[in-house]
Parts: sequence; C-alpha cells; structure tokens
Amino acid sequence: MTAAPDPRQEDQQLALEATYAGKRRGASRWAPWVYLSGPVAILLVFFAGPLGILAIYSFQERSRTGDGSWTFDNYVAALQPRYLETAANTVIIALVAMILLLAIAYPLAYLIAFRVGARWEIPLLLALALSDELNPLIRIYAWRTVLGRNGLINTVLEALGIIQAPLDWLIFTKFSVIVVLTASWLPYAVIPLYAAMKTIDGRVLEAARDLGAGWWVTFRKVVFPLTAAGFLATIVIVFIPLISDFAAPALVGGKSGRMLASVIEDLFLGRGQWGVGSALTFVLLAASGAVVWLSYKIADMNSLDTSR
Amino acid sequence: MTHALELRQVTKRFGDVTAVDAIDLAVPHGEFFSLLGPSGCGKTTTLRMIAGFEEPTEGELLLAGEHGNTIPPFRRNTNLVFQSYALFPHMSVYDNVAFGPRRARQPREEERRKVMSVLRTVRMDAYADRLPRALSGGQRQRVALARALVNEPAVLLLDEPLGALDLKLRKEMQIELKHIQREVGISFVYVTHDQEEAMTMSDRIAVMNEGRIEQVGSPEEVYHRPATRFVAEFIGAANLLDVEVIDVEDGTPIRARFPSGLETSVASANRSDVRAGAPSVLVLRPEHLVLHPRPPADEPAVETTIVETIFQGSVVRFELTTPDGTRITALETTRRPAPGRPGETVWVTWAQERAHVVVD
Repeated sequence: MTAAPDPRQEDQQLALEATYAGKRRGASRWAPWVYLSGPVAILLVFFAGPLGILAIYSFQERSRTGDGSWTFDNYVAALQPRYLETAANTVIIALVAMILLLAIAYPLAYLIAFRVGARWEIPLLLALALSDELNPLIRIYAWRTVLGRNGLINTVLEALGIIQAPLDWLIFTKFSVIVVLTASWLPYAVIPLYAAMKTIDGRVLEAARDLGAGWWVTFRKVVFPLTAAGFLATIVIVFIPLISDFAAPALVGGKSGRMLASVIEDLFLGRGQWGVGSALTFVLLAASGAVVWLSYKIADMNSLDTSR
Repeated sequence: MTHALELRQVTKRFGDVTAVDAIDLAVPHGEFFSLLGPSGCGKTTTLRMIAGFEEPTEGELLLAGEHGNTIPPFRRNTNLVFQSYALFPHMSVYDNVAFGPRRARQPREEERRKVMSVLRTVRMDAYADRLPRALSGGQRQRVALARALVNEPAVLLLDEPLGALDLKLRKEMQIELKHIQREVGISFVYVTHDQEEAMTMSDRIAVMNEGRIEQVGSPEEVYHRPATRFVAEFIGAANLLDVEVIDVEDGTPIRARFPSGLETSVASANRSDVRAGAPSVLVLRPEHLVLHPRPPADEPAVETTIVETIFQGSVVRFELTTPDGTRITALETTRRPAPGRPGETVWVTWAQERAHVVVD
C-alpha cells in the first residue's frame, strides 16, 4: 500500500466535488423560492387580493352593487371634517401610546437585560409574555373596573378624601384608550428592545459613563444607536395594531376616544358604505406607513450616525 | 503634597464575600503603579472602586486629596481602559476618542486638535475614520488607550489591557505603554496577573492576595526583598527553604538553621517580623545559586542530587532535590565543564548578601 494519493485520482475527486458543489449551488438558488412559495401564495390570495379589492371599491361609486363608475368621491367623503377629526384623534392616541410604550419599554428592557441579573431575567420575560396570554376583552373589562366611575381608582381616592366626586375623565376618554392600549402592547415593545439590548456589551455602557456621559447622553449616543434595529422592530410590530385598534376605543373610548378603525367597522358593517370605508382604510394605511417610514429614517440615521 | 490617588482602609464586600479587605494605597502624581495578583485577589474590584463603578463598603477613597467614595464615574477625573476595550462599535476611531472631549463641550477645533494629537501618540492617526470592527486587536487596544488618555485624567486606570494580545505584541505594547506614560506624565494604575508585565512597566507594584495587599514596593524590592512567602512565590521563580531563625541581634547578620542542622547567615529580612525561634523561609533566587561538584570548605552548602538539567540557551536550568525531598531550581550561565549530571550529587551555595528570610 502506498500512502501517497494518486494525483490523477485526486484530480477526479476534485472534479467530482466541483460538480456536486455546482449542483448544490444550482439547487440553492431556487430553494428559498420553493420554500417561500406556499406562504407567498397564501399572502397573495388572502392579503394582497382583498386589499386590491378594497382599493377598487375605494375608487368606485356604489361599490356594493359594483356598477363600476370610477370616482374620487369616496376619498372626498373620507376627508370630511367628521372623519378627519376622528383620524386626528386616532393618530394622536396611537402616537401618545407609542411614545409612552417606548418610554416604559426602554427602561424596562434595560433593567431586564442589564440590571436584574440572571436569576430574574427569564422569569420577568415569561411574566411579560404571560400577561399577553390574557384574553384582550377580559383585560379591557378589567381596566373598566379599575378606571370606571365606581372603579378602583375613584373609590380609593374618594375614601382617602382626595376627591369629592368621581373623576369623570378616567374612562370613556382618550386617556382611558391610551392607558389600555399602552398596557396591552407593552410585551410587544419590551421583547424586541430587550433582544436588541442583549447584543450590547455592558462594558460599553460603563465606558460611556467613565468618559463623562450621564444617563441621557449614554442613552442618546450609545444605547439608542445600538438598539436602532430593535426600535424599528418595536414600532413596526406595535404601531400598526395601535392605530388600527377598535376593541379598546369601543369598550373604553366613549365619544372622545373614538378611533378610525371603529368608524371603518361601522361604515362597512353598520351603514354599508363600503366605498368610504375602503377609502378610510387606505388613509389609515398611509398614516401607519408614514410613521413606519419615519421611524425607519430615525433608526437608520442613528445606527449610522457617528457625528455629534 | 497630595497624592493623585489614595485609599485608606478601603473594604468592599459583596454579600458575605469580602473582595477587598482594608487596603491602604497611595499613588503619587506621575507614577506607574501596578496592582498585581492572581485572579480573584481583589485587584479588579479595587480598580472599579477607583473608577467609581463600585462604592467602597468601608474606608475612604481620595482623588487628588478629595473624598471620592460616592462621586459617580462620569464626574471623576479618572478614566478606565477596559480589558475588552469596550469601544463603541457604531462609532469611528475618531468619534470614539472624541466622546470624552465632546462631553466637556470644547470648541470643534480644540476637540480635533486633541483627538488627532492623542491618536498620533498611539500611532493610530491614519485610522481615524475606521470602525472598530475593521481594526486588529492591537489597534483596538491603542484606540481604547487614546480614548481614555485624551481626557487628561489625573489617574488612568488600566484593567489587564494587554490580556487579549499575543505574546509578541504584548511585549511591544508593554514598552510602548511605559513610554507613553512617561511622555504624558499621568499616573497609571495598572491591573495585571502577569508578574513579568508588572515588573517591566511599573515604578511600584502592590502585590495582592485574597483581598489584601501583601507588599508595596519597587520591582527590585518585591523581587529581592519579598515581604511574605506569597510574594516570594508569586514574583519570579524562588526556592523556598524551611529554616528556623536562631539569632536576630541588631547589627549582626541574622542566623538561621536548616532542619539538617546546617547554619547560615542571612543579610536581608524584614527585621520587624522576624523573631528567633519562629518558623521561617529562606528565599533564594535560582540565578543566585552556585553549584559545586565537591563540598566547599569555607561556606555552608546544601547537599543535593541533580534530577534534571535543561539547556535553555544562555542559561542551564538545574532541577535539584535535597535528601529531605525539597525541590530546588538553579540557573547557571552556560559553561564547561557542567557541575554534574543527573543522578550526581552537587553542593549548593549562595551569595549570602542575596539570601532573604521571611516569616512563614
């Protein structure tokens, strides 16, 4: 037996390997599309399709019968003051809730990622995830017992003599909608931010402090740029559900806490005005698109920004 | 004159564990001071207390003469070079170094001048626009140093900054660090577990063990006159021979007796500790030993057997054993003829002015 390999055999071996590798490369070029074809088909049929139909409705006159004369009237109707007011309300409520969510979720994610220690890290995350398992309707009713006219807060404040009559702005206002939305979506804001923070080396934060940065500068110059991807993910995940929520405004919103999604629901199911409803749907979609685009810009600028 | 840094009876406890136990330290301005010890000896905790990341449980920390226990890190006139460098990964080399000056809100030109000047000092000015991930370990190390130095701190703290570098680069950086320290004239407090590194760079070394300081002194002092058995063993190679001190009269050399009955004079000791009758250890450095093929007539000699001889280029290392089993290492410059071969008996003597005794 000779130990040295036959050079010709080696060449053949190499050629064979190259062929296999070529085949693998060929297959791997198509594999992602093969794997994705199912989900893509489902998205096309059940998501893009209906959206297309809505788009057509929004530009047609009497859409229910579909007699097909093209018009912009639905958009003109959608931009009436009464809808615009609700749209403004919706954007204000969603934005305030989003800002509150970020203001609560950032410190919370920081605490879980860096401060509480290995012992509490997983239990806290689990507790957050579990809080989301609660049925949304039950959660909103629970808030009604807290915020209601004879609810927990009013009862306690009256018993303590701090107020004489129940606070009437606690429920059926923008305030109550914002509170309920913020509480409901907190896990979805904390978890992406936590994941982004876990990738930061804690000593980098110490370095910032050592170099003269207080908490705000450390956040602004180090934590935020390094979690820009998590920030964007949080907004994408949370803002669209926030702006299109209809359960919270319906149950705790009253008149002043009305949001566009409930108006759209009413247009479709109550009044049968599918055209205006479709037009409003696209207004809502454009608003969420704008916010997501804006936050993408903020995240992008920060993660690349190296200047002052 | 006040010291750049002073620790008075500083203690740090984490729960039941005492990490640092009532240590006293004073670092003058412009000194290269090392905290040397094995891992877990409390040296990093001490450094983190000086930096402000940990608060002393007891005792007082003085920064330039002022009480500093509770000053937060971002208000302290100290800067820390982290073991893992901890550079800001999203910022260029320039912006990393400019982070400190920007907090001090200096004019742009002033900031630029300072940053580029310190980058030149560490020979990284050509890399100002790079991101940290595009740098080698040694280059990151230099940037980390520049980022701390640019703030002109009263004390620069370094936590094993060369630990992640390979041996050759480490040796080069040791010399360079020492050189930079002398050039900028800032006090350096350098934490390391590598005694050779500490010896190479330091003006003074504090040897730490189990949260306490065993000895503070110049490299020569801790090497030639170790205060404790631990220091003798930790700094360089040492032969430790059990002896009993029999005479500590002032003005005459200390007399000590080996278990074999052999007596010898010892020139050097920390006289306040050493008492007659106390079990003690004679510290003999391998390079101070002389091997004789026959027992010398005029000086005390320890009889040993050669276990192994190892040629190391400029020196030959002899592994010896005494009849009672104590291991001794001797280094002799390469010469002919060799004093003996493995298995043969040789007699070990030493220059008496080199012998040092510590209480066991």
